[in-house]
Amino acid sequence: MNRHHFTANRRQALKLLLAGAGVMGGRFAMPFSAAHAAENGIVWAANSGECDPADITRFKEQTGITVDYREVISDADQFFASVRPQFTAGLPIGYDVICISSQYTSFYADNGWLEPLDPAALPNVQKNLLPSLRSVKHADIAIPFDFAPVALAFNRAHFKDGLQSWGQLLDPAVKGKVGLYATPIVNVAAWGLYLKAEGKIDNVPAEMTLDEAMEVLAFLKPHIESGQLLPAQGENAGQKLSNGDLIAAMAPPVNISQLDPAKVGFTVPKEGAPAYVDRLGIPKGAANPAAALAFIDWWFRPENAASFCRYTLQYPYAVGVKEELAKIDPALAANPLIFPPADELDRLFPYPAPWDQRERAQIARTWTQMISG
Amino acid sequence: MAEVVPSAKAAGARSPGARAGWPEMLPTLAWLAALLVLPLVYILRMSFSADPFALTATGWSLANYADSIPFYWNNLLNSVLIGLSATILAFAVAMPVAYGISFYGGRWKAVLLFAFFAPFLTSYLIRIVAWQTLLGANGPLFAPLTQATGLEVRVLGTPFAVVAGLTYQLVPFVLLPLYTAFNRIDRTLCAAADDLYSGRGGRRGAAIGAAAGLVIALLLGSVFFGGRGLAAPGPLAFVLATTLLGAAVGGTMTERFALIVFPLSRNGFIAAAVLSFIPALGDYVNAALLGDIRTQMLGNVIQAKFLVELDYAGAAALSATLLVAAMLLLTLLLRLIRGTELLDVV
Repeated sequence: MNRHHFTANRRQALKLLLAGAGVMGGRFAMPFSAAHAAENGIVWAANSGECDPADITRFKEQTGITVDYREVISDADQFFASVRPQFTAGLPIGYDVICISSQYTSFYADNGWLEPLDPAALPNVQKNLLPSLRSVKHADIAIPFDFAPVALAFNRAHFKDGLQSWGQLLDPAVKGKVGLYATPIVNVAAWGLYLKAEGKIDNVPAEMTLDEAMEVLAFLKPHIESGQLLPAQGENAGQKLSNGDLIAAMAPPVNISQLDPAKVGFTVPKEGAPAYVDRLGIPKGAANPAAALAFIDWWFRPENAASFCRYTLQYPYAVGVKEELAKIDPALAANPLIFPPADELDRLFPYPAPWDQRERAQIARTWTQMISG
Repeated sequence: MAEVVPSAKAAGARSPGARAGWPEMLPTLAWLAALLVLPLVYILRMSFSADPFALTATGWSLANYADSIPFYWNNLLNSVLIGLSATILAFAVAMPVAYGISFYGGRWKAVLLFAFFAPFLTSYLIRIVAWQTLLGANGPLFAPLTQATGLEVRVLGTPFAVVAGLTYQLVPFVLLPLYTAFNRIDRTLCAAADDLYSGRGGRRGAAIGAAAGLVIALLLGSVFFGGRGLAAPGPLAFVLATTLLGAAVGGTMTERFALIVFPLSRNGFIAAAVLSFIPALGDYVNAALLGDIRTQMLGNVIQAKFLVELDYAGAAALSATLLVAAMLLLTLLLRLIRGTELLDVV
């Protein structure tokens, strides 16, 4: 009788071990069971402050599908790093819908970590997705959703005439009170626009070369070392602005949406600002993809998209939002944070450049060395 | 007539239950193997990986150490100095509290202990964010000062803020072992000391206290103001004040505490030091949320390498370095104070 032996080399054994650790870590840190979600609804891995929880309740009332809404993504890098081992090992990550940061969309799509989406199951997406977002890369597998700039939030008491330029943040008078963004690539994109306006580099963020990115970092280094600009840890600029420890900070509007607009302003400087188009996707191995599709599609009904934009102060990703907001409150339909003037839209630039992993790692490594003292 | 058992034989004799205890030890050994040894071996192997971005180690290389340690030497130093400062300050806060509750708490001991620990039932992160608010320029501590004097006070983003936040997090790790150790002391020994006219430390105590105060002041001063900043008038005043405080504590300390309580609770002190210094050494959240680039600890770099750079091998190399540093410091500590019965208290 032949005896069958299990054989595994060291690498396979380590992979198994890592996958096991990833699963265990994922189970403790994230949803406990995807099977649980399959019975009752879906689990959504969302950004901090992603939506009004009342909308989740409305979704359940209208569809009967429960949503376990988890604001587990406070930092896109960290979320990516936490799910990567499970994806790599071919294991489900325990979520049915995930928010995908614009900088990682290609990683998710190119590595086959997302379920293909059936257009027939997304009639509202087909009908209402903003025309300008239909052509973004991977829009067929990762639906454009969060759409906003990472520009400048500032304390109106200190900047009585507002902020017009990134260069104003280098004024010694505001030393130590200006916060950068947590994600290195966003800082590179934003300050790259400033250097481009100064004639020191040639390309916009989406086409920036690695050398240009390193030039931007070299420009920022002395300002960080001197304490003029403060590197951020996590996206908590809103709290520091309200604490008075910062008077200006790089932030998306959602980070300051809960602050008093009379005290904290938001502006896109004259040189421009990076803009992200984060996505909604269904991760491979999702327990309840049908319900996940219904959930994604629900957000593309104009009244739901309007509620999303009202809560997060992000740009509309769907048509019909302005009309819906006007029904609720005419002031919202005129809010420049949701409906910016055309010249402001012209100053928004998508990011990042299509660097490969090693180029991105080189940027990240240089950044880590800069902010580690 | 009683039989005298030779002491050498008694010392070398294996208790009848020793071999039979192995099955009972298996869960412990399995736990240690699965959750300590295997991860450590994995980290060590990963730290020598030739491909820093691969999820599993491939090939062999020393480059991860060579590319990491020279760049982050200051962060390792920060970890040690900030960790040591926070541990010392946690002792300064927790020791009187543990002593007071243990010796004078009476029937309120449990209530007092719970009251002290109650804030620690909340999330670690929430407590640090609370410190952000507390130490913020518009926070409850400094906003009134700014309004009254017009002076702007900035504490957030300084080494003091990091040490303060970390100290707060460490206090329970010091309080509990000390409280347990103090509780085990036979109170009749203390009563005997009182009957024998136990006095104060006096000049000798003051001299020892001043020396200890000076060492602590220099350590804290170098963390708060930087090595070169110590020569300025403010830091010098801080060193002088801390030295005088040490002298005052040493001079007024009772012989009962110095000669009875402290020696008998020595292992509690060692346990508290180990339990507080180890987490302090690896902490990064306090430095991230309360500090600035000058206060970034090695844990911050490891976090960035692992989660932002996706440089797993570099992160593993720095983790191994931190581990070795911690073990060296602990070995030194245990050698210095000859803590042989640590586990009795832990």
